[in-house]
Amino acid sequence: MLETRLKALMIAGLAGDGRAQEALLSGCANRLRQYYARRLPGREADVEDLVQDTLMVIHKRRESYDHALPFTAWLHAIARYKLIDFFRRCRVRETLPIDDVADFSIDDEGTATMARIDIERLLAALPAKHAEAIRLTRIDGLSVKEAAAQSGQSEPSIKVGVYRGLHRLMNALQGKAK
Amino acid sequence: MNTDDFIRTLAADTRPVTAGSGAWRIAGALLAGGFVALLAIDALFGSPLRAVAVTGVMVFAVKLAYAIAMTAVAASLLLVAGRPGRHLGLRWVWLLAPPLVVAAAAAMELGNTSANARPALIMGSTWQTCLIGVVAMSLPIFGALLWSFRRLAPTRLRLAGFLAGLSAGAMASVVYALYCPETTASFMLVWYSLGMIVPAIAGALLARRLLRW
Repeated sequence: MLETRLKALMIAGLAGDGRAQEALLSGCANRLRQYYARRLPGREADVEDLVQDTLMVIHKRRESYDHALPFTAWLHAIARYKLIDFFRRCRVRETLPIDDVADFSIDDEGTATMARIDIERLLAALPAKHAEAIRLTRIDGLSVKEAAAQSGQSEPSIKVGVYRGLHRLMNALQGKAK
Repeated sequence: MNTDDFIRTLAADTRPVTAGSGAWRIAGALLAGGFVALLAIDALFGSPLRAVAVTGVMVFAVKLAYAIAMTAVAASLLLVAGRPGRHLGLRWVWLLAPPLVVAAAAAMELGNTSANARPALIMGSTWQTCLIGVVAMSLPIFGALLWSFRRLAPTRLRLAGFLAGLSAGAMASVVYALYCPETTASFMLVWYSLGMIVPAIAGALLARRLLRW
């Protein structure tokens, strides 16, 4: 049985038997690989890191083993602790990009505000009717019908206003770019 | 490094470990830290055993007994907390035994005193020195206990930190009891216990950072 075999190896290892210790660590490595692979599917590299990390603990902190306990209980408690610790570390790592995203969103808002100011300046150069038609349909997002009702212009005049206004803006921008 | 090579490297360094070395490590840490605390109190307050002359041997012995009992209980629980796979279960109830005995004595003492004299029994004349002294002296002991945990493996860090702090505070009050001139159980119940609880809470709060492995 696994428990009796591993416990015998552990006790021999505690007595200073290097070969028993090596056999013990190999046996533990298999168990740990299964344990972590089942809980971290598709993350082979993390699993192997965790296995080595845990083997290190099993070796360096052997004094924490209580002879009265089953060896597998000790092993399992350590493996579980290391897994939780891993999740905690991941959460820290994975929150960093989220912080970055938050920065971006603030930046986006700033950019949007700047864009809004630019648009207002450009629209100011257009005839009032055209500017109004563009603002209502393209910026406030109204339909042509709603824009007509709100501005008191006819629907065709809104359409024309948008078309001519945008055309002028385009020309103006290209002219500036040249 | 590939895991098989890694295992060979580890196993090449297999030193024998004697049974009970964890317990010795904790005991050693308490004594070493306590000795540093003793040197500190000796430098600050002068000869520690002066207290016996002030209070008489009996009172001194009771204070020492309370502090030693708390140290013993807290440190034995600490050892359990450092072993993966072991659980404290109901053993923590032992922590209540010494304070309950002291509380009974304090209740009798307060019952025999007129109401307006009671605050003096509790506050004594040195409660600030007691609290600050015990908490300060628990620091070297706590540090030594952290060192002793490098070979143990607490899986519940908060609990281990709490018990390490409590052990450190209790050991610090053992040292402080050598100096303490107070004579009442009420004083001991409040200020000695606080001197243990403050490091315990600090230990629990710092455990994540200090005890992680």
